[in-house]
Amino acid sequence: MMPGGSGHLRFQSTSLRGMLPYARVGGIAVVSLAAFLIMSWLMYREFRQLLIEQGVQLAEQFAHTSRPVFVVNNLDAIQKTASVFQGYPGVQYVAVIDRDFRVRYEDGVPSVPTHEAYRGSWPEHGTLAAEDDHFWHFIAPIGITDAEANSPYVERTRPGEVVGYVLLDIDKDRLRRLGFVLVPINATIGVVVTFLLIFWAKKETLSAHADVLESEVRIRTQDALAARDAALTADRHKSEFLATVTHEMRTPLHAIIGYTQLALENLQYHDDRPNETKFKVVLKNAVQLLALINNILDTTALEAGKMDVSLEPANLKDLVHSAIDTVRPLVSKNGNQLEHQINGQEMIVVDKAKLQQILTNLLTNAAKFTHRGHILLKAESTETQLCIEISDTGIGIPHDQQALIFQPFRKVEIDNAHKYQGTGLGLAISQAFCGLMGGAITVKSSVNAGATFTVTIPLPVRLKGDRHIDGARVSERAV
Amino acid sequence: MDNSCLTVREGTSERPGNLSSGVPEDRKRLSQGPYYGATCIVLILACLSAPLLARGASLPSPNVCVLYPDVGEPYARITAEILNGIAERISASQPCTLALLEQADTHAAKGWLSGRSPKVVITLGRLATHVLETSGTRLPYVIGALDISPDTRPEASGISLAVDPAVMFDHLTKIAPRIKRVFLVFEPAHDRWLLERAIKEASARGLELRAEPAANVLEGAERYGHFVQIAEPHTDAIWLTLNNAIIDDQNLVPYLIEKAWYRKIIIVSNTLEHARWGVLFATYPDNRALGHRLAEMALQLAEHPEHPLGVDPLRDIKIAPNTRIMNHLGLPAGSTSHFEIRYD
Repeated sequence: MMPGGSGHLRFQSTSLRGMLPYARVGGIAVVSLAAFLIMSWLMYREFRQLLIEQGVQLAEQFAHTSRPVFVVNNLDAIQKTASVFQGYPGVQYVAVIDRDFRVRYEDGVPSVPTHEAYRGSWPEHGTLAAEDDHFWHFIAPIGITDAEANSPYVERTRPGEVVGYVLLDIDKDRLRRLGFVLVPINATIGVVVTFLLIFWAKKETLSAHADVLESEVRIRTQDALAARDAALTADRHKSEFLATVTHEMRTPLHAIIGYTQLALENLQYHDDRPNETKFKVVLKNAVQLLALINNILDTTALEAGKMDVSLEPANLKDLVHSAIDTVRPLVSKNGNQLEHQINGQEMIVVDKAKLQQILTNLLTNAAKFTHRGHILLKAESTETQLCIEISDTGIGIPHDQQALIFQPFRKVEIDNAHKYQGTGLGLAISQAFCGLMGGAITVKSSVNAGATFTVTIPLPVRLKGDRHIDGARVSERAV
Repeated sequence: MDNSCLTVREGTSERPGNLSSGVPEDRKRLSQGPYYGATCIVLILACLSAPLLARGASLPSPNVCVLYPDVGEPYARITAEILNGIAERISASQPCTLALLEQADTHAAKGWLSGRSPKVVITLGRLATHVLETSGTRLPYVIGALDISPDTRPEASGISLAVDPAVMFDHLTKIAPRIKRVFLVFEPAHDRWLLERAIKEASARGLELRAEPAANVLEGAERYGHFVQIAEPHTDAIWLTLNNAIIDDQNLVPYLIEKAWYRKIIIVSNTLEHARWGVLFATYPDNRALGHRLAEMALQLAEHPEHPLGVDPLRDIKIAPNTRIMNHLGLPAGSTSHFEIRYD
């Protein structure tokens, strides 16, 4: 199958699946509204039938009540009777006529010319004779019966006889009002019920989705936990591997460096300048390799929480001078000027090796990324804090990368990065060492405006028993 | 199938006193329906009564048989009283009786009569008269307990339930002595004979009779409605005859009574129920005396069956006064204690 066709089918399937809830909601709405409209129609029809039956009963009652007064032709009584029935809701016209269709009494205006319309088809019982848009026209006969019809002593039984009719026009206002009320009410109920059904359907769907999601989350969580465990295991294996390898590499490297130095002394003794230069290169690279291995070892130890802190008295001035001496060749090589200022008490109690490595790393970075610039180291120790600030006028660090440079193997991403060699471990190790002593390194920099790294270590460095600080294990040592 | 077949009650009264309870003691009940059933019953009766028939052949045939309707109360009591009256007058000739249900079979009735060969038959009420007249028998008969008229039955013999105007006027003037004028509505085709008697009797008693014709209840209502408007209190009386063709009991009479109450007009009637409703008094037949008269007429007709006796008005009546109306009209009610029926 062609990729395009497959995609089209997938699109169609997705659309249909997406439209399914809407179709269901629409179906519910249509069915509910249709049901309530049908119910409205049925109720309307029933009420109409009820009103017609009431009208027929009213006409028959009127005829029954009119019978005595009709028989004796008492117009006052007929009027009195008719007025009672005219008081019923919706009655607009009442009339009493005799069997020759002469009007004995009438009140109101007939909506249709009843006498002409129904002549010849007069009913034997009360009935709805006709209707139009506004009125029902009821007719009921006025009948008299023979009270003695059942007597065995009467020769002639008089059959039931219709002596007249009553006419009753009732308007359809009540039916119309019901229609006006019934349809909106039922439609409203229909809408409410529709919404309830939709809400119920949605709730069911959401509940089903929630169940699916919950199981998926549970599965994913289990997967993530397994992945995390695997990653931790792999990381531990990596650290152990690195520690083992670098440790095993450092031993022969020391031998290389040692024998290279011996060879170099012999060459210097014999003044063999060409070979001396070559061996110096070997020595330099071996030393760099050793530094790299040491950094990797430190990183591995830090990640494994096996880095110890050894507090001992140290002379701040000596530490600074030692670090400056270490980086001086690089400073000179890049044509930089390095100054330093030391204030406060000189003797402090810190992890001497780590502090010196911190200073060396920061000065190395400053010298590496500054060309023909100025580097200033300011160190100040008080009773409570040691603060060392190293600033340069180098290429600076972009603002968005300042948080990344303290992560292992992360280097500043700049255009000519290949010019600046390094493993990317220095700042990460320095930050970790500061952390082991309860301090931190911060940076302020902007591109082409240099950088200022500030090391802050609270004094005295407090160690109580064995505890972990920032993931590293610290052992207290007598000072 | 009781309703579809003839059901008769027959009996032969040996002692008139047996009818005092209203039902003869020796009356039998016959069910004659489909031919099969009738045949069976006839055979069974023939077997059972063979000795009796052999002996009965020497007995005289009854002179009078009575056909009457088998109806419930209150008519059954009336019929029983009439039968008692008949039996009291013809006890020597052992009258036989046959009770007829509504769905009576005229052929069965004819057979029953042929088996007894009476000289004359008395029919009581509409059903019995109709059954006899349609049965095809040529027996002479006397009609009783029916509002017959000689205007419609010129060859009949019997006593109508229509009250004789002479008796009516006598009672009226006795209870209301100040009466001077009597209003009456009559049906020309039916009540002419009564009107002639009324005119004659009223004149004989110094009363003015004002009678107007009506052909139906509406006209009757119109005439009576007019009468009740123009009648004078105390001296005028309105007479409601026993003609249901022109008098609508349910609608007219209550209206007349209401109007008469307010105008203090006297109304008298030949329908007993009207007395309860509020007329001054109503008449009702003296059934036992009526029975006597019917029996006498039957025996007379038996002697000369070729000469019909004609229709006589009812003279044997009783009075049921309404004392509340009497008091309302200022008439003395103290002398009404002897009336069998009195409404207070």
